[in-house]
Amino acid sequence: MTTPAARAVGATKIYGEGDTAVTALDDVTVEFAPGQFTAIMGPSGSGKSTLMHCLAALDDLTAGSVFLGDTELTGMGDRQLTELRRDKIGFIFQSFNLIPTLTARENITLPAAIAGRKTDAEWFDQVVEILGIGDRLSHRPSEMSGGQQQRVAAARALASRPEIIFGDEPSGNLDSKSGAELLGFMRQAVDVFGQTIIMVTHDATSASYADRIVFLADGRIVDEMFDPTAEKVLDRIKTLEA
Amino acid sequence: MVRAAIRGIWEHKLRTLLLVLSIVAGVSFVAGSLIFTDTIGGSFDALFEGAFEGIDIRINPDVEQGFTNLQPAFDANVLTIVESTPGVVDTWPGVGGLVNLSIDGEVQSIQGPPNFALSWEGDPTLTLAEGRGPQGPTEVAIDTTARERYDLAIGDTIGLAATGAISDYTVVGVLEGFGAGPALFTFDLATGTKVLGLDGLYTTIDVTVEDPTLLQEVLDDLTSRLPDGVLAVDAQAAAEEQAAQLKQALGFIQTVLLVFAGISVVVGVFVVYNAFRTVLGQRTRELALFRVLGATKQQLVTSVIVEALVIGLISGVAGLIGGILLATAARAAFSLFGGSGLADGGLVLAPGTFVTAFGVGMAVTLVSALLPAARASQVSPMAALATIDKPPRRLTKQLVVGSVLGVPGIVLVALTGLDRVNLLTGGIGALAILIATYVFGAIIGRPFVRTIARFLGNTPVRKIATDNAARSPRRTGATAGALMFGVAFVVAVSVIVVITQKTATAVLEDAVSAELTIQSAGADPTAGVSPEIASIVGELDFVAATQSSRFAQGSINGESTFFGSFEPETVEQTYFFDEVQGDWSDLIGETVAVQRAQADEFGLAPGDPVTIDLGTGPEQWTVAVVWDYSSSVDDTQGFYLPTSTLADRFPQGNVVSIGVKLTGGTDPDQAKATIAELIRTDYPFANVTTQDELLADIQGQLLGLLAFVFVLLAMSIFIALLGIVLILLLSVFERTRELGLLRAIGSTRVQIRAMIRWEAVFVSILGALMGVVVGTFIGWGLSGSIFGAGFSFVIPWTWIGLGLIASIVAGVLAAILPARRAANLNILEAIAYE
Repeated sequence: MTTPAARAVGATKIYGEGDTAVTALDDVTVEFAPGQFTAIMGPSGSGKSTLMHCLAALDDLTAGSVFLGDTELTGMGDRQLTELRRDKIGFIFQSFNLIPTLTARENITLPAAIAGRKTDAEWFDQVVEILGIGDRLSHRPSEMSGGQQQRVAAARALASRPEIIFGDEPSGNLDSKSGAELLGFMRQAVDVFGQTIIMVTHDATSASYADRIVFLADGRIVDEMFDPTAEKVLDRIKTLEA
Repeated sequence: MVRAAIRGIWEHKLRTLLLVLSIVAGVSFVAGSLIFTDTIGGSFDALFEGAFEGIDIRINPDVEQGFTNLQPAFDANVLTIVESTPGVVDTWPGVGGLVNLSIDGEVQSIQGPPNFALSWEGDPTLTLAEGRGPQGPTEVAIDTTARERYDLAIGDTIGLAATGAISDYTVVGVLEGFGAGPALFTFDLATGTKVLGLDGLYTTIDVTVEDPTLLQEVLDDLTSRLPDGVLAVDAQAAAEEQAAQLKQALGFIQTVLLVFAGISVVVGVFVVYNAFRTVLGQRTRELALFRVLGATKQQLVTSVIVEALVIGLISGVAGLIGGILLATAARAAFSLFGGSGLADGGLVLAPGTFVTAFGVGMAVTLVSALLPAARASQVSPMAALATIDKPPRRLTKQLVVGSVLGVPGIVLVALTGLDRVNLLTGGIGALAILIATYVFGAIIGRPFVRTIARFLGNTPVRKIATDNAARSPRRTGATAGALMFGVAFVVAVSVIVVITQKTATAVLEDAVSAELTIQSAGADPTAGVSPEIASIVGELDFVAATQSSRFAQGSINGESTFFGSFEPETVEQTYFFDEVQGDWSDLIGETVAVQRAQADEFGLAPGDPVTIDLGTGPEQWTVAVVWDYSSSVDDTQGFYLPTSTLADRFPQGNVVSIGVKLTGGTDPDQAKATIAELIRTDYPFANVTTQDELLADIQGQLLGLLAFVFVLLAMSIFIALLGIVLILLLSVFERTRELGLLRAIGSTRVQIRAMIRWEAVFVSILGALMGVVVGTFIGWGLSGSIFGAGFSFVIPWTWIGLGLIASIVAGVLAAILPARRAANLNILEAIAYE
């Protein structure tokens, strides 16, 4: 079996102390295969965002460990985590993805600029073309629609060829047409470029673009599903809530 | 990232402009002070390059320059000695002294440099610019300074006299002047001697020597031959020394200017620091996003520093331009007050000024940005995802820092107030208190604003304004703190000046019993008036007594001092004394009367011998009287000689003032008019004043000093107000959504504007009150060291009241721009923000 792109082993995250302690993750062990599009689903407070933050080197665990490929993140210093994020991880958030003072092109090449690297021009053109934002490159975020902004964010995530891209409700703020377009592009990135993507969502339709869905409730993995459709997902959610 | 930082500077033009202004104001002040003093210093160099040219040695009395009128003269014996000294070729004996000027019958009484009469018979120290030299009893040659200052021309007739009746002289020539300082009026030697009343006496002898390489030998020879009290000096060295003395005075001016410039720079640092802190706080999510995308902490710090450096660079350039403008204005003001001709050339822009302007600009922004940048770099990447505000942080750190600095500061200033430690220690304590108060602003800001609001009554608008001001206590405290600095300095200075005023007027009110004083009406009051006036006035039937005072300088038991003088016959009629040891009638011949404080200091009692040197060698004198005024009077001049003795010693000198005691029931104003009329023709330069007029005069002078200090401090207060504008603008920007919501649910533009205005007023009152309390305390403390323990403390309520009103007005003004911004927000855009 090939090395998973990311995995969590006995991951536990507790916020606060004593009486006010909240267990967000409760001994979660899970693996994510490379070249796969995985959705993490669950109701609010299920720990799905926490799981993603810990996998993405944004937050640390109370107990357990997290691996990105062969690299263990647990115990890494800030500098190493920072470089890891810079070189191996891409992000697409629900909102506030872009630096307002920079143009679309500058936002896309920002991670490379931070790392002091040159952007691969051919790859950049390819990504921009697939996402259909070639005519928006000199615009500021404030001059673009929400869908366009999210596509720029996706382009930024892809541009540095990360080992893995994390999405946090990337289509959450978009109308259904723009959302469908964005998720279509993400699907394409997995199929065409073999990109690994892990996305948190609570929307069944969004989740149906994934290859695999992991269901979380109360900080634990309660179920999973392969090759989902929107109907199958909705049915499963109903069963889980029952 | 650096690009994002620079783009941010450009995007927020208004914010950048205000930031730059806050720095530029201080930088301009620094640069302006340097340019101004360099420019004047440059003209001093040019000035003294030509001074004493063509002569080798100058002979003059051995007295420190000071009261020009007191310069003793020497007789023809000295001239004979000099002429007979081997190696001496030419000698030019001369006279010089203060003179009064009258043009078209008007006595010229100006504030500023004095008029100086000089004999000139073509010696090389002066050069003719126009016309010819003065010859005979009715001719005068003026210098270019006099020509410009009084708008004179060759052929004009002017009136001149040292003390007595005016004589008319025709201007026949113009000499190259020094451009600043005294205006010169030159006569031939015989006429000059007559004008100055120095029959058979000289004040200088200029000498050339046969062989300049033997100059030192001739000097040594002269020194051994000349009597005590007459000096022979190397003319070149004297010129250099005079230049050095003026430069030293200039250095003092520069220091004073730079201290005030420094205050405004410090206020600038606080304003910019606060602004950077606030801006970076608002950009938390953006910075966190950088961190998510893999920027290191170091990179975040660098981007903030680059932003600061760019702003610092812009400020350096603008500050230099501002400095040139300020220096030009200062020079104009300087010419207006008698420095015309000086610094008329180009402004001197020393390389050091460039370096300093840029250095200060950069340093201010860097220092201000460093701490906020370090804090910003600690932002967690998670903050990019968070949408909720962080809970307010506790103010423990403020409490600790404030107490650690504040308590010792208060102790030090209190000790200074009791005159237990020196002024410098008090200054350090004052600084500690200021910083502690700045830090404490964050703690007392919230309860203070709440209290004021309760006092004013809570309207909905005021309620929101109160909450806004109290919402970010650190920000409010820091904004008010910057204002506190300026106000504290103003208040401390006014406390000291008001106490000075009280001390100065106490001498007149509680020590002087004479109702009228006769002094010189000329530019320099130490020029004095003719001693004959006293006997004329004494004849009048409504005059009970007169008291003529003279001045001398010298030393007592080795300590150099100024001497005043008493006429023992009338001293008890014209002064109030609390204590007199010894008998006034003993104050005669070689005796001295000593004030209690100085007697204690020197350990003197009536009958004790003292060594007195009046510039003519040490002599053994006797203490005749030890006396004291009432306790409210603090006279720094403690040694008085008999007036008659000084008159014998310096027959050419005038009396500095004549006190006139009137008989009971005489109206001082009436008496003044009668005396003025009586002496007008013969003594046109004598001026009769009543006590009230003298009091008003002193008050006017101190008011002028106060105004000068206020002008110098205005820059700091201006910067602090910019700080309020800046922070309010940032707050409005931060609360865009809230303001949109308020508008959406029906708040009018007027209400929104009022809200911002109230917030500004709260902040400015907080700053002003902190400044008043701290400033009053510091003023009290420093006064202890200046006036000695047990001085009578006065709180300048008028100034404080005016200051508070001004602060409220300033707050309202500072709110104009932010309030307009807030009121003109587009509601839909505000709510749809992000």
